[in-house]
Amino acid sequence: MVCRVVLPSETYAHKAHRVLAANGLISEIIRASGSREGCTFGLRVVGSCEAVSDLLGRAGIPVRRITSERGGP
Amino acid sequence: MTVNFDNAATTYPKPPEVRLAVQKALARCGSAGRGGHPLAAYTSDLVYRTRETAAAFFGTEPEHVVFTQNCTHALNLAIQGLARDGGHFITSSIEHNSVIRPLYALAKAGRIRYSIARVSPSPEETVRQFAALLRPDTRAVVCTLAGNVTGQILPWREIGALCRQHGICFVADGAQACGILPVKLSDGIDILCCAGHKGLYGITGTGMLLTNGRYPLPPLMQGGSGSLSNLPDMPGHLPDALECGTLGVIGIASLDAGIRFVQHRGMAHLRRHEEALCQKLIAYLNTVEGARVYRTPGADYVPLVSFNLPGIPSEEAAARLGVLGYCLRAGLHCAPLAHRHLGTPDGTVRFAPSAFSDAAGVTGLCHAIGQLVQKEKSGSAE
Repeated sequence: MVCRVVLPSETYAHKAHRVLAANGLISEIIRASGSREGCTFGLRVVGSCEAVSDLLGRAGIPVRRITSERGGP
Repeated sequence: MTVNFDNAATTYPKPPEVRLAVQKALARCGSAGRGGHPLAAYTSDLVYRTRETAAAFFGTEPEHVVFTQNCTHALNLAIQGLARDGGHFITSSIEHNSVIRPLYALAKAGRIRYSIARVSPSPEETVRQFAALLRPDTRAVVCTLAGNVTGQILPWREIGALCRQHGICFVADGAQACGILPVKLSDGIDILCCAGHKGLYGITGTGMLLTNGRYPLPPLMQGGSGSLSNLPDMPGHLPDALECGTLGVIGIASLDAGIRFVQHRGMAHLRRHEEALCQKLIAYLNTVEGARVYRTPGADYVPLVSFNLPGIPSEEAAARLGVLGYCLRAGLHCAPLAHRHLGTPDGTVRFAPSAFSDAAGVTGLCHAIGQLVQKEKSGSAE
């Protein structure tokens, strides 16, 4: 399962990437262009959105959108 | 031969690892936070790594590290931001113009009022002076952690506790303290402003504002942030809210290497080394009849020494030492208030060593001072 997370900024994308890696989740930083607010950054994560949401929430990282997609990164 | 004892202005030389980081960044960096291609990704990773380094060093979160052009820029972000709702500010009698001028300009425009706490050699008395100026509408204390003229250290933890107790913001000017004193945001500091090119050994054009996030600040400038770009407003989240335009990634790379250099050497070691050089100079100056060293028993200092030589104005003394290869800063050091406090309206000569200064350099300086004083005496006698 792959989870796509849209974050407010690239700084938060890096922070989220570190938090997920520390918890054994592989992710890559991506451009999240085309969103309503304009260009920003996010992550594609190998893992469930529930787990990602929980970990990022506990780390105090604000998430703008989180959606699951089929297939690998 | 050039021996730099003007490190309180900018440390020179820079550590080899800083020079290497700059070369590497020049060769490999593009723009950070603006694209997803490999060049941008490499650069953004470097920028985030520097935020992590600085955040760990000063005790905050990486997103609460705002890169600025210098300490003055960071102080203006803080002071002008906090002043948006007016109110009363307190500062100290040994401040640099980077604090005094923004406060003065805001007061002149009728937007704020401010009071100046007299700094005493006694830390307890200094805190009492700050406390005595508190008013119901006091919004913040803005003061240096260590003055740039004499290097006197202010009791910042106690000032932080006072601010916390009264629910007001504490903005600390760490220009002379960061990299030499163990300053942490957990000391009661809400906003820490620092230069990157002094005790943190980065290159010029670098500075930081570090915050605990308790006092949100509006931006001084608006522009591209690489995030939420469809919105006409600057993003509300840090660091983007206060960082617009292309980041100075070469400087940021130097700052990362500089902070790591300080961590590796150890701040306590650096302070001991530099203070030993200060003591060597002070011991010599004490043998020069009529020389004046501006240190007071009971006060604590970062490693710098302000002094004057008998019969030689400070600017002239520094100019003549410069001819002999010794670089020292003279005059008012952009801190006229501190000089009024010190009773030196014509300024002082400032000696400020760094990690790369050594005893041989100080011995040479003492010899040069001796020559200068002797020549002056001979000239006066003629």
